[in-house]
Amino acid sequence: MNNRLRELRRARGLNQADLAEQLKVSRQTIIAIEADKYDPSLPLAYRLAAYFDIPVEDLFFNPYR
Amino acid sequence: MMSHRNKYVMLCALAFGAAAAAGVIIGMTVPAATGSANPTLVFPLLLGVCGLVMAASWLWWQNTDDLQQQGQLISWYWGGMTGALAMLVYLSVYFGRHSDLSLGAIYLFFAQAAGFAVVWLAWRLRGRGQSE
Repeated sequence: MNNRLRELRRARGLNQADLAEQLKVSRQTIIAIEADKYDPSLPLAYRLAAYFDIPVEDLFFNPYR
Repeated sequence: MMSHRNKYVMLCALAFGAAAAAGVIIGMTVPAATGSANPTLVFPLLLGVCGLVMAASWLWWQNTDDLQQQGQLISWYWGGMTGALAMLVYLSVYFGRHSDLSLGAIYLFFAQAAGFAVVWLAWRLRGRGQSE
């Protein structure tokens, strides 16, 4: 699923390991989501959106709309 | 405070350490070539040891994220099943269907299938909401 995770992470001056540590997930997960190789679960998508303080659809683009 | 990454590595090491320790305990408790002299005592005792290994693994599992869990599940299901089936065929072809090796592998396969059925049933029942 296309997303803005890399852009938002960089805007905060974080590397992938920092963001993974903040969210208590693996760095591999952040890499995979940024590369559009893995669609996160709904709870993780909401955690990411909450971390960046934006609606989830501003982070992950809805491909069905 | 311990980082998430360090906690993950520590729990992973604990799970593998528990499995290794269980292997040593089983090796020291059960004779190499025959059954145990007192199976009614040794069997539940060693099942308890296996339970401790699973408990340690559960702690590690609770600290894995979505992607890691998906990787484990897919690898165990497809990789584990394919490997087990290939070994089952190999043992049957090279040692005979009723050889001790083949029968042992078949018992293990049935035990896996039974474990799968129990967990799948629990998953199915837990995951069912109210239908309308």
